[in-house]
This record gives sequence, C-alpha cells and structure tokens, in this order.
Amino acid sequence: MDQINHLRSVLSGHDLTFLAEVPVVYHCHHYNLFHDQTIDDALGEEMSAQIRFRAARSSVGELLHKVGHALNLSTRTERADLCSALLPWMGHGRLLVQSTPQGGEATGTNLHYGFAWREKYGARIKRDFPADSFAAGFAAAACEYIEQLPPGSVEATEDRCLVLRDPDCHFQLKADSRSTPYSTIDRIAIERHVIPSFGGLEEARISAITEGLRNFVRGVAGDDRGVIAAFGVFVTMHLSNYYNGTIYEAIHHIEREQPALLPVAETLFREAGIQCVFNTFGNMLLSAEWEGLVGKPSGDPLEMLSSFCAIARGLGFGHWIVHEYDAGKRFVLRAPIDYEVPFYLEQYGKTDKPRCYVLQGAALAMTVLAHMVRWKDNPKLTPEFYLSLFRGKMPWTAEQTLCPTRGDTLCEVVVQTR
Amino acid sequence: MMKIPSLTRDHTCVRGMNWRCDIPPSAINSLLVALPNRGYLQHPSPDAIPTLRSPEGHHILFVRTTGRVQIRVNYTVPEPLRRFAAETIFTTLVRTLQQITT
Repeated sequence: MDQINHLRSVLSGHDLTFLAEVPVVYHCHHYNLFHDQTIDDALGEEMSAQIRFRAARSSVGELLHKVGHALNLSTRTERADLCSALLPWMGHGRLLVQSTPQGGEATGTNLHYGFAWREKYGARIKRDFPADSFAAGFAAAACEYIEQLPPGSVEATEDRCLVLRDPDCHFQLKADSRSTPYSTIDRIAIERHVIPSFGGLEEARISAITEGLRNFVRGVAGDDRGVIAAFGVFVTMHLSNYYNGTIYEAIHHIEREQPALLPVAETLFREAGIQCVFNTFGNMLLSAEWEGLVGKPSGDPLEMLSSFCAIARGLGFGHWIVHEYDAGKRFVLRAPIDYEVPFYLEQYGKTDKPRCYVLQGAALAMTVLAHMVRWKDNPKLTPEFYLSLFRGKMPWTAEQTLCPTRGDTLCEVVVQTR
Repeated sequence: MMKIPSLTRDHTCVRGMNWRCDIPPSAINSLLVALPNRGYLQHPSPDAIPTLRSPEGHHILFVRTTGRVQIRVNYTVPEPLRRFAAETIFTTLVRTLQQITT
C-alpha cells in the first residue's frame, strides 16, 4: 500500500488533495450518510440510488485507471489486486470482486455505508432498501477495469445488505453493450480554475495546524477490515467527484422537474455542510488526536474559527480563510476555490447563482459552533444537541456573496447576526 | 502512592467505543515501556499521541501533554460488551501503573 500512499498530492496554496491526480477529500460517516439521505429525500430512493451508483462508477472508474496507470499495472491479476486493496485502504470496507467479461458478482464486508448506518441507526430505525450505492459503483467500475470493458458498461445490483440485516453485502454485476464515458474531473481540470492564493486572519496558526493534520492524515489508512476509526468517528478518503456528481445531478433534476421544491432541496444540501462541521469538525476538536497534536480547544470564537479552517484544509476541502471577524457579529469565510467549484464549472459551465452548498452550510455551522458551544465543558455532540443548535430560528444568517460558478473570482460566505 | 484514575466515557459518536482515564503525563513513558510486556504493541502514531494496540485489537492512545488516556474499543465488539472490554484494558493499565509507581 506504500505505492498507493505515494500517489497522494496537494495543490499548493489551495489545500485540495489528490490521489493519482484524482481529487479526494476526507469525510466522516455522519456526513456520508446524510449526503446520501439528502439525495434520497430529494429524488426518491430509486432515482437517488441510480444517480449515486452512476457517480460512483464514474469516479471510481477514473481513479482505478489513473492509479493503475501510475503504478504501471498491466496484467489482469495486477488490476484485480488493486481493486481488492484500494477500497479498504480508503476506509470503505472490503469488497471481493469476482468478475468475468459478462459481469460476475462482488461480496462486501464492513462496507462503509451499510456498516456505519447499522452502527448509527440500526437499533432504532428499520430500513428496507440497501445502502451501498457507492460500493455498487465501485464493484461495477472494478469489473470494467479488470476485464477491460468500456466505461459505464457494467450495472450492479445490491441484493444483500447489512442494513437489511443480511450477514454481508452482495452485488450482482452484469455487462451490456452500452457504455458511458466517465464524467469526472482531475487535477489538470481543477488547475484551470485556480487563482493566486491568499491568506487571512490567524494565518500562521492555521497553516501550522494544517501541516500537522496533513502529516497525521497521510499515515491514516483502513485497518485489516478496511475501516478507519479516528477522531471518534469512522473516516473515509472519498472522491469529490462522487459528492459533486450526486449533488449537482440532483439539484439540476429538481430545477428541471420540480422547481418549486428547489429551495427545500438547497436547504438540505446546505445542511449537509452543517452536518459535516458539527460531526466531523466537532468530533475532531474533542478527540484525543487533536488534544495531542494541537491542544484542548479554548472556546475563544476566533480560535475556533481558525481551527475549523485548518481542519477543512487538512481534509482537502480547500484553502479556507478567516477573511473578516467582528466578535459576535460577523464572520466572512473565503477560499480561492473549494472542492465544489471546479467540478461545477467543468461539467456545467457558469450559472446564475452560487453553488457551493457545503461551503455555505459549513460557514454557518462554524459560526454557530464557535459562539454557542462551551468547548471547555467537553460537550457531547449528540443529535439532541445538534437540534438545539440548528433547528428553529437561529441568531445567525449565512449568504454566499461570491462564487466562481457565477463569474466571481473567489468564494465568499458572509455570516452575520440577524 | 499514586491516586487510582477512574474510567469514564470519552468523546465519540460511536456508542461505547471510546473510554478515558487521566494519568500524570510523567507516567506515560514508563507505561509505554511496561505494557508491551503484557502483549500491547506499539501502533504507528505521531510522537505526541503514542498508541498501543492490545492483543484483541483495541487501542490505547496517550496524550503526552495532558495525560489523557483514551481506550478505543475495537468496533467489532458488540455494543453491550464494549464497556467490559474497556474495563479489562483499564484494569491492566491501573495494575501496570501501580507496579511502576511502587
């Protein structure tokens, strides 16, 4: 796995991270489950599963080809070995793909979505449809890659799943004559959209923490079951092409078919950013790892905002900066670009509105957590606490005021008191 | 005589996975030397948070600067048994600590 680890890279000054030139970010299981749930809520389970499967197949297909190319893999055995090794290394569980040119099958254990869903909700909520569209896409892409089939020519159906109380997850793979080119972006495409980077308040502190976090994350990989338990959560290295492909396909579908529902859908996608900051960032700040690497959080709002920016950078979200901070009144978050912007511009071109939904939700959540949580009291980040902070009328509002997707030069979200 | 630390739930959103006790930071190095004799092996980690892995696959993280010790029970342990797994490790930890300090 050392060979794969060496394929990591960072776009200097922009804190965007790559594996074999394919953009990757780290997200925890709370965000991943909420992201998929949001697509389900917006489109219905059947269409959501299709969109998530296609985005996964496409983004994983590109990743496998690029990693295989970088490692100079040429034989079928080498390609199959890569498929076995890569998913667990990224923290997504294990998947045994038994492929043929006609398709085949795949069996998963501890697959991230099913495993994490059962851990989070299993005893309380009954679910009647499978959870592993990402792994289904991985299995299909793996079959295409191993058997040298055209991109997008293998379909996968999950017929057993942990969340359905099956003992494992299982996928039927079927190749057909159709093919769809992978619809993703890579580092070269992203570099077309970068502008000179810039700093903000607390820059020295943020940079130092980012460096430490990045070094730590560089050593993080799935254990022998393909799971990464760190910072008090289950963590994955994930493909930003997957997140972006699913969010924007869902949004555009709603814009075409049910425009009246668009505000609700956009609110949900922003809430995914809130969930990310509350769960991933929050758990990181309270973790033993953070205490050892950085120190206990003091609760000072500016310190908290700068810590959040460092976490975002360390996880590959982009070069987030504290552009302005007026104590208790106003916070301005900026970034030259984030991981959402280049994908949108490459796939869809310019648009008439800001499209950084994760950034919008994250800026609001950062402000709320910086001002309304007593970090020194070691708070419990429970669902009840989440609701107490983010349900109802909040004392803060957030608006994305600048976005490259509508022609601005950078991303900016302004959060201020009502 | 060292005061015996107490075991409490530590921060995590995975039920019963993380437990903590607090020890004098000065005791950490001695524990890192002594615990491998009881089957706990060094796990790759930054120097600021040395980590040991138990024979059963649980982890113990030591925060050098503060003395926070996190017992991270392997997620494969069913939730009702996680507390027991943590207490078993904690008992080993305390006994080792007592041997070191007497």
